[in-house]
Amino acid sequence: METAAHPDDRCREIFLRLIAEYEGALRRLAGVYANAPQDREDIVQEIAVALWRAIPAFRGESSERTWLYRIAHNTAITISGKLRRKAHSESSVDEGFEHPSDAEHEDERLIREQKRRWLFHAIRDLPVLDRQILSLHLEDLSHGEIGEVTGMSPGAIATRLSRIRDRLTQGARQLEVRP
Amino acid sequence: MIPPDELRQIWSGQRDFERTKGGKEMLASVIEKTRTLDRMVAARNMRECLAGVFVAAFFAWAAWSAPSVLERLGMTIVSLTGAWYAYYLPRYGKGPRRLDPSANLTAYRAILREGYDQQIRLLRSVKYWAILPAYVGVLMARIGTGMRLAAEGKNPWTNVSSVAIVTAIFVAVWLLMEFRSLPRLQRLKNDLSAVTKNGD
Repeated sequence: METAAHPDDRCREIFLRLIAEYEGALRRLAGVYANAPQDREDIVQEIAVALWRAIPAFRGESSERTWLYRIAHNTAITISGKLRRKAHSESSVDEGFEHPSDAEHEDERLIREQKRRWLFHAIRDLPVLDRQILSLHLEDLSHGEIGEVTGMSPGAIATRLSRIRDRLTQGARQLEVRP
Repeated sequence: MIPPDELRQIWSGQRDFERTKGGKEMLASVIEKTRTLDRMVAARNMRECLAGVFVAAFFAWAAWSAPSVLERLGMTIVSLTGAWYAYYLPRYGKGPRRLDPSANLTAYRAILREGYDQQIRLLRSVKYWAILPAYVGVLMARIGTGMRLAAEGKNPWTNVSSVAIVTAIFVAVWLLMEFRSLPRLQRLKNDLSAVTKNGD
């Protein structure tokens, strides 16, 4: 005879699976809201706490992925308003980015590094809703799924994404013409 | 111009943002953090509730044994205020309302802003429905004592220092709320607005 798993055991199992699957994405998401490693870590921790509290109430009415991103962005918004490490954040631009790889050519690495820095700074310069939409888009969510997360229509998402792309293009051009 | 595919490649190629902690380690710290927070909130609510019960019981006894009507009335008001705290706090004073983080982002932002507005309104009005009745009660009791002392032919002004101390305590509480708690909430709301500006 099978015994029913304890609800807490089930929650642990779900939590571990979600973290195994999405921790990388959650850390990238934290990078959209904060630059300093400690701030990003705080955001990830708070998201993990919010997830843990929300798991028992998840009834599968929406997809697990969109549910997780809603929790993650909402928690990040709540905590990023409270973060008081702006000065530290400004002074730690280089922290937390990729370390050189031996196998990689130095020039290529520098170019990729520059692009990466530019991308994250450009994203953090966007209005918060645009940041959320772009990061969800970059995590491969469809317009419909992004709409489910943000509460906007897929049409509005498409328009917004096109505007974000224009803005990023402008930013990239400015970067290219800069001596 | 960085093409979209490369953009995605740069985005997902963040080595630093890849897994740095084991899921089990994170789960352990999350459970610990959740328990600590819950215990802190429960302990704070319990302390406030016990304080309310103590005030209610002490002033009920004081009202019972008070020698004049005005003193009895004042003490009764303070006792009722304490009983109100003891009743209200365990039911509604469970800390900031926990928002549903699984709401969609647009709805959540609106709820968050509304939550701050509600807390600010509550804090602005708390002095009228929680502090003022207790102060009026204490003041009535002290005036009653003064009148009784005068009627007994004693010096009623010996009572003045205790009135001054009680007034100072109530004023300090009011000032803390007005110039510390309220600006803090306002600042949190402003921070949220700054983070979400142009976002809607």
